Amino acid sequence: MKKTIALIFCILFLLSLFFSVVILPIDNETGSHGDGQNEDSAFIIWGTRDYTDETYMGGETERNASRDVCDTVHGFFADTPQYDYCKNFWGNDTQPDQVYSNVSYCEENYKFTAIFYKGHSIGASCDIEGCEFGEHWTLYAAEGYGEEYIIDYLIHDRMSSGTHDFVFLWTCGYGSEDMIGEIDENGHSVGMLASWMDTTGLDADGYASPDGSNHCFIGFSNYSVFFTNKTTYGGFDYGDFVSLFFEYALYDGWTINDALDAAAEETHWQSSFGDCQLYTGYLMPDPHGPGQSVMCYMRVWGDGNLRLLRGE
Amino acid sequence: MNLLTKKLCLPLILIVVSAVLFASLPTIYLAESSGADEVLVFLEEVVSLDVAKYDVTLLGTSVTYPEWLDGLAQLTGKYTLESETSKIDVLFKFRNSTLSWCLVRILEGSPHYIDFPSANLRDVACDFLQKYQAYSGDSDLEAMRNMVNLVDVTENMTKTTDNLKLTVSINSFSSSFDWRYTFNGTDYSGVNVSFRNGHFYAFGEDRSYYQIGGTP
Repeated sequence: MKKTIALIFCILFLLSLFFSVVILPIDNETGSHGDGQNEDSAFIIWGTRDYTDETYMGGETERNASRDVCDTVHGFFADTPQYDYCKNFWGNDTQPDQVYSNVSYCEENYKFTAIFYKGHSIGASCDIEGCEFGEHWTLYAAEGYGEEYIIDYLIHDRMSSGTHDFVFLWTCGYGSEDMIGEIDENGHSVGMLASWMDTTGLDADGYASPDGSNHCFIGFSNYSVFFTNKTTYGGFDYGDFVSLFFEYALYDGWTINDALDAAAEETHWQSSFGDCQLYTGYLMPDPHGPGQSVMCYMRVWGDGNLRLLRGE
Repeated sequence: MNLLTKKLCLPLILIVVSAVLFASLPTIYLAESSGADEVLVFLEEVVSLDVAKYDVTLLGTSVTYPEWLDGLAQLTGKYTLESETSKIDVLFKFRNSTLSWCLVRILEGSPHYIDFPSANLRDVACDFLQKYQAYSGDSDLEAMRNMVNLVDVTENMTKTTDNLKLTVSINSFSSSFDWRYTFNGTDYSGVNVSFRNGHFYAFGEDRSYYQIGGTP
């Protein structure tokens, strides 16, 4: 009798093992996010609260949209097991020292770090002896204009492993070819791309010609477009574009380029990012020439084939 | 029936029931992905891609109900097509059960075609519409095709005939055609297609869900 019961349990156990081996791998191929290999990544959102100027910063509606979109984007990453350090520091927590210490922390502890910043840019000087760069470039911190800024070379000073692999700065200018920056022989840097990513060798059009570097920087040439600006299709605005971009970028197997294409299609009704005005050019009011407009672009530097969900 | 047989019978029934339930898991997935298979038909019949020459992998699909689609489903997914000499990624979206977006990204080599595309942009656009009309059975596409023959496709231009507007956009990245119904100066639904380096790049179609007077 006992032998029979033992035999039944053995059969059941073996069959359970069989189903575990056969069924589970099939389930894993169905596009679920994360497969247990995607650990050790960080994602951080930074953003200023300063939208004082209505014309050139967008005013309170832009501030609120920035806050809300950053909340949404943070939610996407928080739901993704790979990103076990996932912070939304938009607003008061966007302090220069906090930024620098997080750069150090992520460089030391994570194999992959993704950054999203929403705000404004301004030039600054540098008091480092022997600096020959002249003007440096900064990001607005929480309090904004006239307060302490987030300075390019102080970001670069915290680099140790070069693992800030994806940086998306929704701010003016830092995607321009003449602003990607440099790093001198002493490791002193200028420019946001060079400072965040510890390189100056990324391809200038990572969308059309991904360079395989596993580094991708997205910024704007001239002025970034407001989140509240309409795309002219279906009531969408650029806040929707950003939200959708990150949503698609976290789909299994999707690249930065894939996400740009899918977000452009949905919000612009253009068949690809390459056909969309972010890539082909859009007009924004010129602060240096009141009443005039200037052509602006979103620029993708480096590797558009980079994946934020690193399953492979 | 002896005692041993009786004692074995119940667990065996449980195992069979469990097996059926487990087996239904991949079936549910297959049911979801069956809509995605339509993309391969589109690639073969409209883009003239020789899909049979590739190992095809569906990376996964996602069904969402975006607010702007007002309750309609959107199925989004990605295929990879790989052969010894060619690698292609294919992104797609179905809305209201109709293929509304498809993008073909050539990653390696030259694609395997059933009919190799013409080097002439006008011919490529007309050929695409002709095949899309055969695939979809939509006779409205003929008017769109006729418009292509009336315009200069070597430069950026817009031409409106009756209530149909064609916009041709040429930039460093791609060449695109956008046909859009227009009423009283306002644009509504339509079809667009773009080509890159002589190959099909992307296609969009919002007529199945975009209603005049609002979205969708």
